[in-house]
Amino acid sequence: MAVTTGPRAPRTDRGGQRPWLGQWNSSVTSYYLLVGASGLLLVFGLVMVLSSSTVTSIADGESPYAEFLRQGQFVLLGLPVMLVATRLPVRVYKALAWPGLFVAVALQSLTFVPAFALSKGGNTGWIGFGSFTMQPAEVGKLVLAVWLGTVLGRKHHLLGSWKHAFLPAVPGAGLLLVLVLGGRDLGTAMIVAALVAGAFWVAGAPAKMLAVLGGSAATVVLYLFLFSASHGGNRLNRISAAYGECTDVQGTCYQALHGMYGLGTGGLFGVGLGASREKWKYLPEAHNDFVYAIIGEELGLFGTLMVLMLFVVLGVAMSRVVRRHPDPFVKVTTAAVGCWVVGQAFLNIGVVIGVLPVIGVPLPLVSAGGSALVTTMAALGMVISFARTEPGAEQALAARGSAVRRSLAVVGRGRGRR
Amino acid sequence: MSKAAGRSATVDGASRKTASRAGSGRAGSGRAGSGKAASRRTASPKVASRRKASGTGGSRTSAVRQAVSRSGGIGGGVVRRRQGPPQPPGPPASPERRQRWLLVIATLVVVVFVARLVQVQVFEGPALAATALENRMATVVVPAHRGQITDRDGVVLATSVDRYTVAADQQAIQTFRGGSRVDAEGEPVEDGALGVAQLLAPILGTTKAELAAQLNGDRRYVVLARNVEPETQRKIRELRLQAYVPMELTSKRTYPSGTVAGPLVGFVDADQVGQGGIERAYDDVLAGKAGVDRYERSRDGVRIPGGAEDSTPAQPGGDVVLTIDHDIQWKAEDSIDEAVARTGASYGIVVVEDLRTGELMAIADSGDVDPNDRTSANVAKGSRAVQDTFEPGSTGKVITMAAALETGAWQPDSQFTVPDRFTTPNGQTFRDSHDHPVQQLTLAGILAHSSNSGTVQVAEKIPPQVQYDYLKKFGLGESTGLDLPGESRGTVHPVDRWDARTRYAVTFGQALTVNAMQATSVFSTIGNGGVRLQPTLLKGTRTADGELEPVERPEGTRVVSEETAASLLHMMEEVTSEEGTAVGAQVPGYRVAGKTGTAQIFEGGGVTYMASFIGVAPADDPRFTVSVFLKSPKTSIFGGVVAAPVFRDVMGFALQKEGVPPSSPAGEPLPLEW
Repeated sequence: MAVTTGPRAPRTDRGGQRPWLGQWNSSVTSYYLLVGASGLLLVFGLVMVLSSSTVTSIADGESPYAEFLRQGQFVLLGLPVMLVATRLPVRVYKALAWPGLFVAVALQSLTFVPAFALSKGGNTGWIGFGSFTMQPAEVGKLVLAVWLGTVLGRKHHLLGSWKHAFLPAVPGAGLLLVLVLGGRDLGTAMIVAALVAGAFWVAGAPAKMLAVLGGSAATVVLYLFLFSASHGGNRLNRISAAYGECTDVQGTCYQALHGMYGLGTGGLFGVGLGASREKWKYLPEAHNDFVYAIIGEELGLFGTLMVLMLFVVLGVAMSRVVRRHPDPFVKVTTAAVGCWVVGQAFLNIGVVIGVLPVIGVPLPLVSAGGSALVTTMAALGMVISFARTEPGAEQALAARGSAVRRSLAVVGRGRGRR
Repeated sequence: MSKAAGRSATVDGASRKTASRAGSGRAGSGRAGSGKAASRRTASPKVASRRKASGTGGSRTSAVRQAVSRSGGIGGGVVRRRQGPPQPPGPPASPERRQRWLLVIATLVVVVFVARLVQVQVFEGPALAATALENRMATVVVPAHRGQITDRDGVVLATSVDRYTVAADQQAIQTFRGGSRVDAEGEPVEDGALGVAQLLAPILGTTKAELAAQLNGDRRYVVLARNVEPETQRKIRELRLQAYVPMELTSKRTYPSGTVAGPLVGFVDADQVGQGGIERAYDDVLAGKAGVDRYERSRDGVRIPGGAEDSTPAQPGGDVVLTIDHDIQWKAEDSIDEAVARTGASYGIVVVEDLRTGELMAIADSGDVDPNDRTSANVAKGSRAVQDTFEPGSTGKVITMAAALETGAWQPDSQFTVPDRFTTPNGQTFRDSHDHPVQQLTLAGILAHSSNSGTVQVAEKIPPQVQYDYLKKFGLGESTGLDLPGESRGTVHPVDRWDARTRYAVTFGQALTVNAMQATSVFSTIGNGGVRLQPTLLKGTRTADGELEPVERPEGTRVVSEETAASLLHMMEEVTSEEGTAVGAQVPGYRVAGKTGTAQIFEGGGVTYMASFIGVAPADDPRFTVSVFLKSPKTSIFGGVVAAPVFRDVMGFALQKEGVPPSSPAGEPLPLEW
């Protein structure tokens, strides 16, 4: 292989790119990185939701495990969804793209129907059927990723032209984005916008067009959220609170300040799992949008870096899929999911560590949340299915035998040695 | 195209090399075609120079490849042009390369985040942690438990119990959410003030509507109930409303014995500081030292388990053990109340002293004063035994007799001719309380009959300075040493201010004032063989660990000799004899020595009387002094009539309670006449 061709070998294009990765750079690396990082984040999220919610749950007169069990239910709900998603072939996703878009638009429209609309924390992006509540924008993200992959991937070689890049992807994505914006949920809208932008970008749409679209979208967002009468003051305060001197310790910058307190109290090694002080009702949304601060407090810099690194691993793995998978649909969809999941993680972490103004988005897979968790798991399951169809991956995975046999083999060998 | 590429990948997908080549081939073709966007972005001067250097491949392709190959390279060295039909506006940019841009952005973000995390958690961490901790620390003053006041046997006269002040934080209550909670009747709990009221009203014994009205508003602290008992507090605590309904530990002083020793024990103010009686006199012993509890608490006021703590525990106050005997005190109060009712007196005082030790067994005031009942100001008046002063009257003759005997001027059987009116050499005329023919009385007879004109004759042989010295030696005009608040020590004018009449008047207890305690002490001194002991109310203090520290008492001072004391006692026994003025003071089975008194009190332009009897028993081996004072009795002004029966009751009770053996039969009575 490339190694034998001399000192210039690493620069060649032969299969041996990144020889320093050795056997880690295999056809199943993406698959295992995705499965590993998702699994770890999921389990870690459960642990942190339990740790950060017990106090609040008890204070609310509930079982200390109430929030944890809710989260557990959603994980149990999401796991089969994720499993199925990992096994679905690419063509099924493509086939589901257009119906999915209609469903997503319909669900998102329900947020404007008073009979179904719910409002949580000033955002109206929720709908409810009886006791079941969900955020349609979460479904929208997944659907958009698939749909954009389908329409952009199909026209891949035509995307150099503005017209082909524009239709039908821009109106479709724009419609959903506007519907989400209508819910006045800035965080979700930003994530959806990042997802759309990522899809267009990786699909290869003309950079000029993206600049124009991005600029106009940013203008709309600025107009809607910074200067609209109803929310203007609130958001401007939040932004000035993030970058200026904190003037209203009990109000605008309270949450951000207590997030900082949590991180600072944690220090290098943390105060220990379960020993957070900020979770004693000081930090609002401790088990949700600000769970990263609790991680930082209980597990210290090592905890925060570990979570950050797990998202980096997710990003790297998805980047690998984009790079290695031959199907343009897969490339675009994976890039969209990557922009969504990693972008949302960055947004969340950036808010908690005080780099960004307070924008309420949950930390994917870790924060407590129902529909968001399930759709994120479904999206990652889908990317895992892509990773399974990377060149060579299918054969490598097929060759390794069943999970049961592998597990028993370890046990059997252990006994044999004794 | 995408389908073709995908298929080719799966067909020869077994080999990674092939796959990457296929991908890169497509990418390469795109770039080779012309790829405006890509070339514009990458055609920097640096790249251009490299382009010259590298001879292989399409110039643009190689430049791009080199530009990106440092971060891993796309691969595709062999440029294939089998696909990628030329598009008029130009083919799209390569997804791989575009993805790389995203990776670069993500890398930058991660670098910024890691730097920021290190900054916040490592460099700024300690300062943030300290600020956060300081904000979490709560400082609560822990009230110290006030010591008890008990009688000599441990009967509790005053004690403190835990109580709670229940308040409301109206601002917090606005944010109260009932959630899934239900009230005692299973009804779902509402939000806000109504919800809190719904939970709290049944426990506080009010109605939901009434309580909700109190909970509505913007104030951070509104007291809902004071002196809430711990049982109720526990019920409220179980509601877990601490963020909305804060509760503070307070203390409530209670007096389990009620009216018994009420004015003596005194009272405390709202801050638990002693303001009267023993509570004030021994406040330094009783009051503990409040502690400070500093702990980490949650935003809604719960102590965080395992949190930082820095507490100084409260030091409970010590107990005060009085010399008072609860039962004797009760008996004294009961008797004096009865006497006041019977005689129509305005008030009465009884003092019982163990004359061997100076310990006061009872200080009783008439009238029910219950320190628990703070609706009236009665308890604030304190004990009259040390506050009210009056002329001692005939009981003051005892001091004159003591001086006469001690100086050897007279003997008990010295003979006097006593008319009912007597004019002294300096022209002052004194008369007895009632007219009588001239009597031939001994010294004992003068005392027994309480003759003023006789006493004046006795005083002829006692110089004024000597008289004054004895007054002072018996403790008149001096502090009693009880330390009770509001004590008035009475007035004994110095000799140089005595006029012609005062010089004689003081000999039978006029022209000077004493309080009941001082008058009692004179008799105790005689009963104690002439040694005066400072009267005391304090047996000792009991520290928090339960040990009794006896109080140090000053040595007694000898006032008169034992012989004089014995003679005087013998003379005073005749007062209670059939011929004396206080037959009613006799206690069956015991010999009693005492003296009646009737002193004039000038007040409000008129004259009224203080009728008294002070005595010791058993006369053969004195144990107790009991003094009884009645002010303005209506039935009779004579102490032998109105006060002596109270003496009999109280002394009899005290002697029996303490198990004092009955007296031996009286000896030869002293001759009263000659």
